[in-house]
Parts: sequence; structure tokens; C-alpha cells
Amino acid sequence: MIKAPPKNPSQPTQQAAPPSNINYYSGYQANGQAVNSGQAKSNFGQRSKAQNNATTQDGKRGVQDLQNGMTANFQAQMGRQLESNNAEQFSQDQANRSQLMQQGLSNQSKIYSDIQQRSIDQMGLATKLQEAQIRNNFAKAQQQALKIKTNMAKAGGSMNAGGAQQRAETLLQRSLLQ
Amino acid sequence: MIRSNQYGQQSSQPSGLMMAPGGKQTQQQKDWHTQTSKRQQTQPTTTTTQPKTGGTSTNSEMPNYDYSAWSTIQTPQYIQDSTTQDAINNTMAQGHSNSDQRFQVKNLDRAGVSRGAGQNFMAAQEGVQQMQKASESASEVEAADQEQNSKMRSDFQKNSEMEAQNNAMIQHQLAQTEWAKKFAEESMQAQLEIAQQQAMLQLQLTLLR
Repeated sequence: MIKAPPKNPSQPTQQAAPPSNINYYSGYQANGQAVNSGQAKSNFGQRSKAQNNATTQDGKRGVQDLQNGMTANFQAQMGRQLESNNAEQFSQDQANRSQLMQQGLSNQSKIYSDIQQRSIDQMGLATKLQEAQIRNNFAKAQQQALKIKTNMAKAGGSMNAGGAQQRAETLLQRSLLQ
Repeated sequence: MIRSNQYGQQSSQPSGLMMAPGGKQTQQQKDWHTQTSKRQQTQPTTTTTQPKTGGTSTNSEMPNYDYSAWSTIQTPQYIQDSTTQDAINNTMAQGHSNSDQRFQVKNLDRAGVSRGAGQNFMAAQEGVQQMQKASESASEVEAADQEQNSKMRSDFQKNSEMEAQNNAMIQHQLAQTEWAKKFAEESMQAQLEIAQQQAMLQLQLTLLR
């Protein structure tokens, strides 16, 4: 047995629109400055100072020259190596950060797109329900019109036939506009 | 709101769907930054906060787009400054010992070099070279440790954020699936009601005729 239907079909729920901005900001903070090359060179200069135990003036000068030369040479080599490593690390860090930003934005876009799709689906369902509502209204109006006509027939034409017909037509037309 | 990042670029303040652990968000995330910047050896927060699910389909439960997720990756075991300094001190102690004038003079004695100003000069030169060698080793240790720490920090930050992103997307997929199921239920229920109503109207119409 068919149960009595609800007066109106249940309506779909509203889906809130997603935020209009997509601006993922990575928290990645590495900046490629792996080693402070200036500090490292300075530290080396301090550590490499040895006592100059030569006894003659020429000897002292010779030992001092050797020490200065070796220190300058290593500092230059070390500085070059450290800066090269820093540059490589910096490049890698930039790539990592870029990758994280891109992935984050891509994920945000996916979420944004899904939320939009939900809205679209809800609108589709709402349209179908609206359409069904119009059909139902029309069917109800048809019933009313039939009743009017039946009553008019029963009354044996004593009623205003033209007015009843007009009322029935208006009812049908209004049902389509609701 | 626009702010500059550490690279001197400008970027918009996030306000939308998903935030990285470093974005301006929860106190927990701020703590994470503090921990990272201080290179603490302590264990970071290992719990994963349950992200709020989004995509609810009722008006009373507005969707929440905060898909923030948390990483479970622990802070790396950084090489401590004191460890590096110990290694440097040991190397330098050896350097001081080897560059000692008496040690070098004895070496030259053993090599058969007669004592005098010339031998003294050679000993001093050798001492300088030994000191240089020790300093080079110490500097290499210091630089290597710093580079290692830097790489660990970089990897940690990258992996943490990647995990957080992946967690967020998993949460979103779950929310999306949940919504799709709910929507399908709504649609089918609505179709049933429509069919039932139409059938009832047709029946009434037929009875009237």
C-alpha cells in the first residue's frame, strides 16, 4: 500500500562555497647557509698560530712567512670548498621549498575543486527537485480543475460556466509558475 | 596580509584550505618552529592532532576547511656543539704536542742533524707545519659537522611538511568520500519521495475521473 507522500520532497542542503584564495605558504625554513665560511676561516687562522722558535732573525722571518703562506693557502681552499657546498645546499633547499609550495598549492586546488563539485552536485539535485515540485503543483491544479468541472456538471449548469472554466485555467497556469 | 619570507620574497598570508606546519596557525605549530630553530635534542610532539573533517552537508555544520595535519617525524639527533668542540680540542692537542720545539729537535737529533741555528730553524718549520695540519683537521671536522646538521635540518623540515601535506590530503579524501555517500543517500531519498508523491497524485487523479 502506498503511504501518504510528504507535502514537499525534502530539499538538498546548501553547500558553502570554498574560500576564494589559494595561497599555500610553506613552513620550510632551511636557507642553505650550512657553514659560515667567514667564521670557519677565522677559526682556522686562530688555531693554526704556532710558536715561532727559530733563533735567528732570518729564521724567525722564514718561519713566519711559511706559517702565513700555509694559512692563507688553506683558508682560500677551505673558503672555496665551503662556499661551493653552501651554494649546493642553497640550491637544494630552494628546490625543496619550491616542491613543497607546489605540492601544497596542488593539494589546495584539489580540495577547492572538490568543494566546488559538491556545490555543483547540490545544485543539480535542487534543480531536479524543483522540477518535480512544478509537476506536482500542476497535478494538484489538475485535480482542482476537475473538481470544479465536476461540481459544475452536478449543478446542472446553474453555475457560471464561463467563470468556472476561467478559474480552472488560471489555477493550472499558476501551478507552472510556482 | 602580505609578509616577506626569508628569501626576501613576498607572499600572501594563508587563510585558506590547508596550512603548512610553519604557517601562522596553531600554538602547537609555533612550538614546532621554536623547537626546530633551537635545534633541541628533546623529542618533539609526536602526537597527531586529529584534523577537523570538512565537507559536511548540513547548514548547521558549516564545512571547516582547516585540513591541517601534523607530522610524526621526530627531530633529528643533531651533532651537538660540545661534541664537535671535543673533537677539535683532541685534534689540536695532538697538534700542539707534535709542534713542540723539543719534540722536533729530538726528531732531528735522531735523524742525525747536528744541533745549531739550522736545526732550530728546521724544527720551527716542522712545528708550524704540524700545527697547520692539526688546524686543518679541526676545521674539516667543524665544517663537516655543521654541514651534516644543516642537511639533517633540511631533510627534517622537508619530510615533516610532506607528511603533513599527505596527512591533510588523506583527511580530505576521507571527508570527500563521506560527503559523496551522504549526498548519494540524500539523492536517492529525494527520488523515492518524488516517485511516491507522483504515484499518489496519479492515483487520486484516476479516482477522480
